[in-house]
Amino acid sequence: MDSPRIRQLAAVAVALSLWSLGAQPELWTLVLAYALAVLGLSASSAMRRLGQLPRGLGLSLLLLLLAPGALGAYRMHADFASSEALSGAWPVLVDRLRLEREPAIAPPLLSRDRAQTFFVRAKGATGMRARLGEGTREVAAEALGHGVFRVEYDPRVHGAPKQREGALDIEIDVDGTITHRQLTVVTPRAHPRWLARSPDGSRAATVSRETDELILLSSRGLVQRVEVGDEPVDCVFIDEKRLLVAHASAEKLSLVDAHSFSVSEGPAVGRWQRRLARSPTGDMLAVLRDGPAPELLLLTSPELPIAARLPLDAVPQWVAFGHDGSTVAVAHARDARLTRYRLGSDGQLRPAGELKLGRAAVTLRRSPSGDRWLLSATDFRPDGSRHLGNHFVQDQVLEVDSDSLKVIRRLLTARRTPRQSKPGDTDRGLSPMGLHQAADGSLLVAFAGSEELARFGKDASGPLSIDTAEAGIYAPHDLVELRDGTLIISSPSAGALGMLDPGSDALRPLRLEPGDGYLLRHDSAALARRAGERGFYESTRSGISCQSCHMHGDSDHGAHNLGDHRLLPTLGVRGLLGTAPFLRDGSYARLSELDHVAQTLYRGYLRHAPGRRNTLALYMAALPRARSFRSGEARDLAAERRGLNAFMRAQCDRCHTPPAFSHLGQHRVGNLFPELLPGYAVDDSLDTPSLLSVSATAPYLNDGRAASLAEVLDEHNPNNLHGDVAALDEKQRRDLLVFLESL
Amino acid sequence: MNSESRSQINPSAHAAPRPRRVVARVVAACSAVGLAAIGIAAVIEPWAETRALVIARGSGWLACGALLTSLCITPLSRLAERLTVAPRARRLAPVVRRALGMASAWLALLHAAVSLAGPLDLELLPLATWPHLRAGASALCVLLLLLATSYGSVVTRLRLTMFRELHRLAFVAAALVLQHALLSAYASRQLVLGVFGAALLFGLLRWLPTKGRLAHTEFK
Repeated sequence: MDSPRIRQLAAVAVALSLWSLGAQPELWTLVLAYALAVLGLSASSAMRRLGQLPRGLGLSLLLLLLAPGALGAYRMHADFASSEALSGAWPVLVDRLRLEREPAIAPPLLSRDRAQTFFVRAKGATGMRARLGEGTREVAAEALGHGVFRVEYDPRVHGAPKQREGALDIEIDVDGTITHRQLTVVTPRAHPRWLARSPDGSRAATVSRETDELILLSSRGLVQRVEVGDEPVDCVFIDEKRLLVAHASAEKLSLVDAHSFSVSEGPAVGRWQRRLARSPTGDMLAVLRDGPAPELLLLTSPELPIAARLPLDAVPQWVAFGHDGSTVAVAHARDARLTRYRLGSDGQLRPAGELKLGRAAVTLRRSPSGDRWLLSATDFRPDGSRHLGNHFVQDQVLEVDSDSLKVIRRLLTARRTPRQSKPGDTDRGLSPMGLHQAADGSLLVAFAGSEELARFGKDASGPLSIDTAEAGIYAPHDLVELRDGTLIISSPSAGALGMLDPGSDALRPLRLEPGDGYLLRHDSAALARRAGERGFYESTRSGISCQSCHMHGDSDHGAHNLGDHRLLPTLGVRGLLGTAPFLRDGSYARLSELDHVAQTLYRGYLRHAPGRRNTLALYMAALPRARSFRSGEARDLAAERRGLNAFMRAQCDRCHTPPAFSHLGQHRVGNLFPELLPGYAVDDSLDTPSLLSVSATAPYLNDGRAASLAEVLDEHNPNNLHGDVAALDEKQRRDLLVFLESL
Repeated sequence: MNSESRSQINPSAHAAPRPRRVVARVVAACSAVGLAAIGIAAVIEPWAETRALVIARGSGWLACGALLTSLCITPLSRLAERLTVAPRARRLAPVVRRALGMASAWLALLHAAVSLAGPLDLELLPLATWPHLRAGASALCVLLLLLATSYGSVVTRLRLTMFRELHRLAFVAAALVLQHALLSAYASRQLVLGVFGAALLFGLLRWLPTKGRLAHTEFK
């Protein structure tokens, strides 16, 4: 029965058996097994003897030989796919192919609520226009040279696409030839986040950045939803009649009449407005700006002229007044401190002491009188050092005396209830976010991680806890108490506000968006994102959530030990769509695979939620990238073009390939930064990050050792391996920096 | 093992020495031209890093091209014969296939040496831990094994009666090269998929019905 097929079958059967005996499910071991099988069978007389057997018997023998090998191979197939990097090859390949197709466009996400910048690569093209879906007007692109184009899209100017969710067909017109490409379009729903209380406590207000509206509430429910202009980020009551609204992308603040709901222009304070605060007496208002030139401004009420302004040296996150209008506290993220500023008699703001926190404040509020500042944090290290514990998070609320800047009360909130069985597991008091000191002196805390509302007595008794998830108030962010005792709680992920009646302790949801049932029937994509957003804030049993470090999708500007004995800066999780693989070393091909970390390292989530890994990935994929510090500004196109020339001359495009400014590949640490090798293994790899919005993502490089882009080019490229920067003269380097900041 | 039985094992062993030498020289000359072009492309690169990369990538593509062409020779010869473009194509096919296969092994060895001395800084650990480098190293080992067993004397000494089964590893080597290229940082995925897709399409012609009886140098 000797035939080529039989011989081949025999070789495969022996090879599989040999392979399954070994413990190495890799392709090279399979090849080796096959070669050994062929050589062995050639050298032995087995094939001759097999040939002498009757055909049926010979075939049966071969099948018997094949069975254990095939079974072993089946058992090992998952390990095999993993070790050969095949299990995640498909999403990585899809993302890469999308970027290689000419013309290619990036980023692949279009969020209908905001202006965005897209880049297109069309080699050799001289002109380009794009129509981003049906219902939008054509956008003319700016040619930057080398076939790279920039498309500045603003839904207010060019119209929002008719399609609200899913794959969006767009047209790219390159020199008269129209090509179709696909983007993913999302329509974010209302997200009420931070609450402001009117001075008399009769009303509360919040803004929704996604839907450009101010929401006014009283203890009887919703008063009005007011459209206030693009990207409102915070609001504050000037007095009972007027509100001030800050916008992320506008020069001027907005003024809203609390009774007629008319909106007018407020004072011009500059773009990148972030937070607002009101002094206890109401005579002063504070405006915090971040972006390229962070700043603290004080406005005098009621006329709102700018009384003082002070440039800040680090990214500010929160602002709160002290007991008078001349004392302000600013929580800085990057170096994790609370700095007190005082307004001098000469009208100048000056630093007047600081408290090192060790980890950025999650929220900062003041007590009604302003004698105390309330902070929630994931750690507190008064010596300002970083905690070296692996993935260390210790949720807590701090009370800081505004005069002495000393912590007078430290409340570790995470705790376990009897329903937890394993030692060390926690299920209550996780991720404190909303802070409010009630009229009776008790501390009200909204816990986003464990979805509860707790009241801690003035005498440190308590807490009295109310589950908010039962009323559909997921991951509560903020809370305020109105004068009649009604508590208002915000839930961005649910698109709802909760109203807690003081008498009955009944939590009533006030929906700004349809409930889960409606979304299930009519907008399943939005429902999946809602579930994912809830999962983002939900704590695991170890007390850690995505939010613990990736605050609201951004970085906490901290450095964490991620298990390899190195402190690494936290990355933001915005703009991830289309950039597989993920993490610094590109070890995760899909965002959903990160669920594995939560389930194993962090002991799993508190709630059982089927499909969480996918919804969480969908939510993160729908987060638009951070805005470039140069977006919306007048551009120096000539300098940017020269900068792109320098970019190409230094061969940055070899890895940071347009239009995503990443080729999504990985490189050995030693190839780029051999000076780091003592601390890294020779086979450690680095994923190529996208340079889109790079100006807003400092610090730079894999361990955050470069504070600025200029440092990346000069100080941290000693061997000239991270781009041929040595080929650039001083002027070209400056132009290159201009170009990078424009991305 | 006499010459008749050897030809049953190694199809090209039967071919006359002269065409074999000619074909081998042509393939070697083509490889040399390719390498020279890569050298010129590397020399004009201003940055040393890119220079090393051009040589590494170029030699890799040459090796890959030689391997895929050698795998496509048999189906192409069948097509040529069927279309009566080259009636004697199938006779020459084993010779060309052998020469290209051997060239691919030598070029792969060169590619490995250049990559090891250049981008890998003589570090061997990544060859074991990075899947795409491991695949490349595995492909090289397979090709070297096939190269060694392409010589009649080695086949005789090894008493290799399953030559054809062993040399089917050339397809596995191609799969490993595909994995190597698809997971590498720089290779264009479009180009990789295009080249391997074309090779696969040509490979499907292998099952084209043959015209008349098989020549005695071909296996049944």
